[in-house]
Amino acid sequence: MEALNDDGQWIVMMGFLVAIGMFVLAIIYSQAPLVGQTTAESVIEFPKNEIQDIRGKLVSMGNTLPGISQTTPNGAQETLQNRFRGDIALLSMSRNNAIANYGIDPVHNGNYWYDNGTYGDIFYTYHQIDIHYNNGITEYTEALLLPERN
Amino acid sequence: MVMNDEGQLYTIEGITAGVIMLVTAFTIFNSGLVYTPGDAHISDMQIQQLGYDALQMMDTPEDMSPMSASPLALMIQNNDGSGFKTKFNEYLTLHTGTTELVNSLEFNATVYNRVTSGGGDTVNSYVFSHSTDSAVSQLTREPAISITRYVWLSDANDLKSHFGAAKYDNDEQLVLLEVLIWRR
Repeated sequence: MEALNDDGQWIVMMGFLVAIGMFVLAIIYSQAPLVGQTTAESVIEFPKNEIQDIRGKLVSMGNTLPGISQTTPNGAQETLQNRFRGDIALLSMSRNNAIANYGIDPVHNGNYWYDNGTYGDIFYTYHQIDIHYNNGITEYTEALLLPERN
Repeated sequence: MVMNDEGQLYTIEGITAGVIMLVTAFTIFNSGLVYTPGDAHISDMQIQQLGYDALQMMDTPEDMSPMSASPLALMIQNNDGSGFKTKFNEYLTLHTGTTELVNSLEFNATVYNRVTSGGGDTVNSYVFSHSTDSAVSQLTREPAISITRYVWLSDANDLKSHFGAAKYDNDEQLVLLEVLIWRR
């Protein structure tokens, strides 16, 4: 066998190492869209805006919610709530594929909160609103305490 | 015994060739799924958030007393689709000076409302507003993004005169505004 010329082995080996390094960097770089995709899909999937929307609508109802600023049952408020609740339930089911509903302490005799009073401190009475949202992927429940000044 | 160190380069070359073949095979078998920015929903997420923000701004009442009507609610109550188009377009195109090529969002807005007359609970819908039809959009466009907003109408009298009792309850009510946004 002819004698092997082993000059420049380091140069050749470093060339190979650099080539392998470039392969590795290319693979890492190719993962970048995947990272963006999973992040973006998670953001889209979580119905943040819908929940904030429903929550905001409930808070903005203020003293038109039953039980607030009321000491006696109020038929007009009950009618308003039935309208509001029915609209949210049907429209969220038909367009957002979500079950959305809420509960609030109503004003009538025999209701625990009416008979015993709701949460409160020396400045505020707190009315509890339970918000339920479930679109099959995200299940969200919140107990919102809406303060009313004493 | 002196170690025979001949053929080192051949050995390294052999190992390297093996590694390169492995990497090549790995790359080929992983390239079944090629992600492009359009597949990755990144721009979808941004358009969705932009749309929700725009609707939220329009649905903020000037008078913050309970159940007051927002500008968006007044537009729906008066069936003012052209007013919505102007304002919504204005919010969508609030930008830092991009060109028309980048700034190319189009939309179609539909209102869904619950009808109780006749005893049942049915959903009525109608086209509320849409952007100016673009010739480009007839040929190609990117997938549309759906955004929704509940709007409280404190007075639906005008709508009842437009659509009739079978299509609209003559009552204060909550309607769902759904806007599809896409990039042409």
